[in-house]
Amino acid sequence: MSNQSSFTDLEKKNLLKQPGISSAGWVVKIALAVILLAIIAFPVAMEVRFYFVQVGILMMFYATLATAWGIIGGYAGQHSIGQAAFVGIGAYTSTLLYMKMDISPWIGLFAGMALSAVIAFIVGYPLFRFGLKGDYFALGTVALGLIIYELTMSFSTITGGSQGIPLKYEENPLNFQFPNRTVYYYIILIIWLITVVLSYKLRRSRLGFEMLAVRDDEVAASRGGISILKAKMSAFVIAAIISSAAGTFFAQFILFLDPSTVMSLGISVQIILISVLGGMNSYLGGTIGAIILIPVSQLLSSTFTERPGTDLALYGVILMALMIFMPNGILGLLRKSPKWRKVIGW
Amino acid sequence: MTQPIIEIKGIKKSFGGIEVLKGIDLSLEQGKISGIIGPNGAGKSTLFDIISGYQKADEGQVFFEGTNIIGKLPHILARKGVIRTFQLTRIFRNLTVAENLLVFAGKSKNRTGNTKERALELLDFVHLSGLANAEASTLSYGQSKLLEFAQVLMHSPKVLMLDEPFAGINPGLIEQMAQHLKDLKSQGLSIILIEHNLPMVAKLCDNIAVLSNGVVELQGTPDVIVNNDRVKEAFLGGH
Repeated sequence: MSNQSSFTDLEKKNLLKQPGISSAGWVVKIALAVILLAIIAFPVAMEVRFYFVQVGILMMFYATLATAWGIIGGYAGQHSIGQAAFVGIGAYTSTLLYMKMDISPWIGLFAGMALSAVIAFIVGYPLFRFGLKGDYFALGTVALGLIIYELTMSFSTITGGSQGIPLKYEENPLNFQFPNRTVYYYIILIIWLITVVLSYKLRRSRLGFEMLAVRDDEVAASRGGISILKAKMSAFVIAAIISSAAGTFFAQFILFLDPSTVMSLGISVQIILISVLGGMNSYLGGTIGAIILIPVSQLLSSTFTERPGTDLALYGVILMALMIFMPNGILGLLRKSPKWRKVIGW
Repeated sequence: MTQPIIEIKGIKKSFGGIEVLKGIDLSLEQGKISGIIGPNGAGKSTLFDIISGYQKADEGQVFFEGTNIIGKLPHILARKGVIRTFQLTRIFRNLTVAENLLVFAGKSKNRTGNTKERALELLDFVHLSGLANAEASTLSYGQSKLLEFAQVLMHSPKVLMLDEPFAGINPGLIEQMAQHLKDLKSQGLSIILIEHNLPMVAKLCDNIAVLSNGVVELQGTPDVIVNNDRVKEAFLGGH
């Protein structure tokens, strides 16, 4: 074998370039910058109605969760259906610390993240160590979601059970409580931005690359020296930590907590649908999915207020159609182009 | 006789009461190309699975450089330098051809130097340079096989275990691959082949073991093996 390859220097540079925004042309870069600026300026640039700020907050909340789910479901290929359990752990940890011990929810945020990481490790280790994958892993995570849900219901003296817990309102930034919704908008914007950047960096890192390899073929990955357990566990724990942070935010935002609001199976399914619709293999998939699905879901539920359930039925039909015609999600349409493939980090 | 790089002692393996390997003893020499041949169902791939950590043996031991490696996980053995291919090609279909090689960069304890340059050289070697940016799922079977071959060479392995490497590849490329295997051997790499192409095995290998019904029926140089009547009958139809 010759020591010199037949590639030109330019070809080498392009071939070996890491996936990411740097592969995009100037038009795309400027368009993305404009979209980001518009998102940042949205609540203050004009007199936006309260309702739209609420929708914006929900959109970014779900974009965060779906991007986090993309790390375990998209990058590592492990379809966790119990992700809402970690949203609930984050929400309840910070809320209970605040309500029972007067500990600031800012501290509760990190306590929830730490607890989620520990629980993800305790649950994930046996699931992955003993080779549960595909449908079996998915069922395992459903069980996790149900266990956390039922435990929260059962320990009603602490958690409030199905009655829920109304959070005491003491307006103070140290209590994670603010006079207007715009501040909440910016907090979730920061959480979302951190999540997307983390997902982007992960995709470009060695660990991210190993997750993709494990997703594609576990046997081939292990043959290459990649630890399957490490790749899957890392994805599961990272996704759990992010989901927990979003959960703490949500509790402080709605100031009321009950199991069905933060950790129902329906929320887990919603997170997956958003990620799949946007394109779960891309760091931008969760955001694209949320930008489309959350306003549609809000619009349908406000349009059919007198016929409850109609909105959900229509929502289901739209999703079915999208999945039939775009099984790889919206960003999946771009993956055939090598250049776009790198931009979206597919 | 040179030092064995892999020594197999009394390996037994059953599936559902059927004994596939009935006590295999085999010594594979360092820096040589060893062939394992035998009819379908003889247990060749099962033996490969046990050596590379993909299956557990019921009994017996496998020594690599003098250390018992039975029970070690495949990725640990891969990092030590025991690398294999599979009968059915295994590549990362959703990654590009170039990424299929780059994903293993830095995973070998034996490899130093510029892994990216190495990946590009290997793409040239297997004639896949033009497809470097293509998704691996678009490759033909033969191309996938070549990509897998390039993948395992990314590691600079100590022992390269190839399960039917020439199946589905055009004759011109088979000659090139064979030449490359000889080059690798001259660099000190130990190679173990499972192959049905007996003329190629005879041409390449220093030693050949014939597996049949879960035991090593015959072992020796290519001359001894190809002139054995039973081998002739099984592989060459008695000619």
